[in-house]
Amino acid sequence: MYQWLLRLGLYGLLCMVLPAPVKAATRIVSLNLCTDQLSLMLADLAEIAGLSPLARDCSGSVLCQKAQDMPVLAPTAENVIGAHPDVVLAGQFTARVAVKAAREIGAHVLTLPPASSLADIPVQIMQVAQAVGHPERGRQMVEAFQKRLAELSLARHPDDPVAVVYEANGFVGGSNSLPDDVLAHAGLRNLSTVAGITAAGRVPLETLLAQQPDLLVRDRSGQGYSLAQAMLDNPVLKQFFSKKHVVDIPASLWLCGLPQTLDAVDLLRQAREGLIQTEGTR
Amino acid sequence: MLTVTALSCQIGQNTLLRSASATFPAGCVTGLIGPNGAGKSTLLRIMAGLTVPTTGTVLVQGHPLAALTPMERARLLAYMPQDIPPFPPMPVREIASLGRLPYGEGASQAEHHPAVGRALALTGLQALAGRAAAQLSGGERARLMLARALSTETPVLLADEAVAALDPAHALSVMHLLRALAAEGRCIVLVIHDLLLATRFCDQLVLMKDGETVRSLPPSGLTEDILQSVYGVTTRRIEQGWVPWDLAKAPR
Amino acid sequence: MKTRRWILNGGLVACIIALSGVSLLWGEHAFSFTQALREWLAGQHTAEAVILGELRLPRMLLAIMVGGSLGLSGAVLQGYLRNPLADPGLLGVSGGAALGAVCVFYTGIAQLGLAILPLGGLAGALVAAVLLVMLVGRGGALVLLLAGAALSSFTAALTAMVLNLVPSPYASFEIMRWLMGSLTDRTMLDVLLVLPGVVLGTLLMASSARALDALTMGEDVATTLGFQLKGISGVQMRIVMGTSLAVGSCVAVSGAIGFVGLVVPHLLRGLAGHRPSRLLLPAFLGGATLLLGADVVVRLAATHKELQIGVVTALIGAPVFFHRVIQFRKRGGF
Repeated sequence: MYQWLLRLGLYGLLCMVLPAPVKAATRIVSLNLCTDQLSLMLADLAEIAGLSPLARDCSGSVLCQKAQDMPVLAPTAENVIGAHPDVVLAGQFTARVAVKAAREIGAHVLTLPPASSLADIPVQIMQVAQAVGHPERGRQMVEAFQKRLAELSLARHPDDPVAVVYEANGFVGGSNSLPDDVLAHAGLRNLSTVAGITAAGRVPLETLLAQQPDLLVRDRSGQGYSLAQAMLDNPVLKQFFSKKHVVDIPASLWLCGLPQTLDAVDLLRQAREGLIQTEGTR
Repeated sequence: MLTVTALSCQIGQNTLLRSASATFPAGCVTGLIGPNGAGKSTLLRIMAGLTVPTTGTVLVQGHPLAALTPMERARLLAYMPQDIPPFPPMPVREIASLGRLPYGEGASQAEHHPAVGRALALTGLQALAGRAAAQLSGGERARLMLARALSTETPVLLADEAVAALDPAHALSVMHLLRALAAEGRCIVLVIHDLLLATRFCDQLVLMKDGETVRSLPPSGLTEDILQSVYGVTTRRIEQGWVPWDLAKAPR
Repeated sequence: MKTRRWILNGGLVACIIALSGVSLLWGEHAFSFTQALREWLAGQHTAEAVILGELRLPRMLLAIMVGGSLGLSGAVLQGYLRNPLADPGLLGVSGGAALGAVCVFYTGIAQLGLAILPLGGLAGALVAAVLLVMLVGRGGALVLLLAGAALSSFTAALTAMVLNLVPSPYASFEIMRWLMGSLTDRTMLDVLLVLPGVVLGTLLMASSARALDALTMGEDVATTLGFQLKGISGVQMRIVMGTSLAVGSCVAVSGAIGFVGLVVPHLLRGLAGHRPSRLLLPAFLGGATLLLGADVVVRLAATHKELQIGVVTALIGAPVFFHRVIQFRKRGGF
C-alpha cells in the first residue's frame, strides 16, 4: 500500500517537472471564476471542457452571457478528472482535492492567486495565455491593456478626493487590494489608507462617516434581495452622500483582475470629474 | 456469615451512620428495623458495596468486603433497592436473566439458564415470562426485581423494603419465600417497616436509631419499652407479634 | 428471537453491501468498472482508476465508518444516560472538533496541506475530551450530561466568535459549509486519519455492552452486579473516551453530520429487542446504511449546488422521529 503511494507521489512529481506534451486538441478545465473569464477570452472556445458554475452568474461574472453556451462543471474531483483535462486552471484556495487529483492523472495545473493590483493583471493574462497555448493572444491583450491603462491613469496627488468602497455586509475595501489600486489609478484616495483603518473586514458606519469621505463607491454584488446588499442602501448613507457623491461599481469588474477592470477605473474617473465640478478642487 | 463492625459513614457534612455493629448469620432472615433516617438503608448500601464506609469493616463469609473484586462481590451479594426503576419494554424473562450478568454468560445462554426459570417460579412470574416489563403492575415489578436478585443465586440477599408495594397476599408469599431461601442456608437481610411481618417472619431483628445499631435480638425478645424507645410509638402485642398502636407522645 | 436478530443484522449488512456497490459503480461519470479496477490495482493513473480508487472508494469507506460510529455512539449514549434524546453531539466533543477545524481554517495554516484541516479537528476533539473528563471527575451520568452541555455551549460560542472574526466573507461561507458536514472529495488520507479513532472508539464502546444491560435497572443494581461505573477503568470512562475518539475523528474529517446518532437507535430499537447490548451492532450497521444511502441521494441530486449530506439525513430523520413520538404517545411508552 505504501509502496504504491510512493510510486503515485513520484509519478505526480514527474508530471509537474516534465513539460506536458503539446497535443492537437487540448482540453481545458477552469475551476475558478477568474480563470474562467480569462480562458473565455484567451482560449479556443472549442477546447474548453468545463468552467466553474460561477461563470454563468452575472452578479460576479462579466462574461456571463458568453458563458451561457459553455459547458459547466461542478468542481468536484470526480467531475474534473472525469472530463479528462490536459490543462486545469484554478485559484489558489479552491477545490484543492480536485487540483491534486488532476495533477495525479497528469494534467498541467496552473494556480493563480487573486489579483491584488492592476499590475498583476498583465502577468496573469500571460500565464493563462501560455497555459492554454495561445501566447500571442495574451500579448495582444496585454498591449491593449497597457495602452488603455496609460490613457486612463491619473497621477496621484496628496489632496485627491477620498473615496470609500463599501461592499455587501458592510465590508470596506482595504489597502493592498485590487479595488484599492483601481481607486489610486482613478485619482482617488482610499479611506482605509487615509484613516489608517487596518481592521480587516467590517467597519462600523459611524467610523466611516466620521472620516467624512468625499465619494461613496458601492460594490454591488448580489443577485436578488439579501440583508447583505440592503446595507448598501442604508438611509443614513443616502442622507450623508448626495447623488453626485455616490457611484455604483458592479463587483464583477473588480472581483477578478481582467481587462474589464479598467472600466471601473473609467467609471471612477468620471465620478471624480463630477465631484470636482460640483465641489471644486479640494 | 455477614459481620459488620464499628461502621460509620460521613459524607460531607452529613453523618449517615454513626456506629453500626451486627452479625447477620447464614440461614437466617434478619430484619433491619427502625425509624426513618436511622441509617438502615445506608447500612444496607454499605454491605452491598455501594457506599464506602468512613471507618469500620464488613466481613462476608470471613473475607473483608473491600478486598473482593466487583465480580466476586456480585456473586456473593444480591441487592434490591428501594426504588424500582421503570423497566424498558423487554420481556420479563430477559429482565430476570440480567441477574446472570456476573457470570459472564452470553445473553441467550443466560435467558435459558435454569436459575432464571427457578427464580421466576419462586416469585410466581412464570405466566408473565413473555410479557413486556413496562406493562407490569407495581407489585409485579417488585417481584420481578426479586426474581432478578434470585437468579444470581447468591448466598446473601440484601433487600430494601421488598414488600412495601405489595398487597397482603403477595407480601405474605414473598415473606414465605424468603424464609424458604433462608432455610436453604442463605443469609437474608431485609429492611422492613411492617412490624407485624417483621416479628412474624424474621429470625433476628436488628434495631437502629439515630445512625446506631441499638440492639440485636430475636423477635421474642421485644418489649413495649424497647419498641417505644426506638420508634416513639406505643405498641400492642398480639398473639404472634407486635402492632403499632398510637403515638407515644400526644400530637401537639 | 435469535433468528430475528440474525435477520436484522444480516439485512443491514446486505443493505450496506448493496449501497457500497452503488457508490462504487455509479456516479457522475460512467465507465467500465472492471477496467478501472484492473487499472487501479495495477497502479496506473488513468482518470477512471483515480476516480474509482481514490475518490469513490474512500468516500464509501468513510460513509460506513462515520455513519457506523455515529449510530453506535448514539445507541451507547442513549443506553448509558437512559435518555432517548441523547446523541453523539451531547458530550461537546464534536463541538471541539468543529472548533479545532474552524481555528485551523481561520489562521490560514489549512493551506499548508490537505491533512492539516482534519488534524486540527482531531486536536480540537482531543482537547475537548480531556476537558470533559476533567470536568466530570468522579461524577455520575447527570454530571456527565451537564458537563457535556456546558462544553457544547462553550465550543459553540467560541466557534461563533471565530466565524465572526473571519475577515473575508467567502472564507466564513466556506467554513460554515464545512461545518454542515460533507463527504464530497474526501480522500484515502481522510480514511487513514479517521481509522485509528474509529477502531479504538468502537472497541471501547463495544466493551461497555454488558454494563448497559445492567444499567437498565439503575446505577445501584448495576454496581452490585459487578460493573464498575466510575473511575479510570470504569464504564463511564470507557463510554466517554470511546465516543470522543470515534465521533471526534469523524467530525474532524467530515464535519458535523446530524441526526444519524439520534435517529438510528430509535428506528432499530423495536426490531433489536430493547436490550441495550443487542442494539449496538444494528446501530452501527444502521448508521452506516443511512449515511451510505444519504450520500447516494446527494450524488443523485448533484446539480450545480451541492446538497449537503446533513440536510438529507435530517430530512430522512426528522419525519421518522415525528412518527416515533406519535407512536410513543399512543402506546404510553416505547
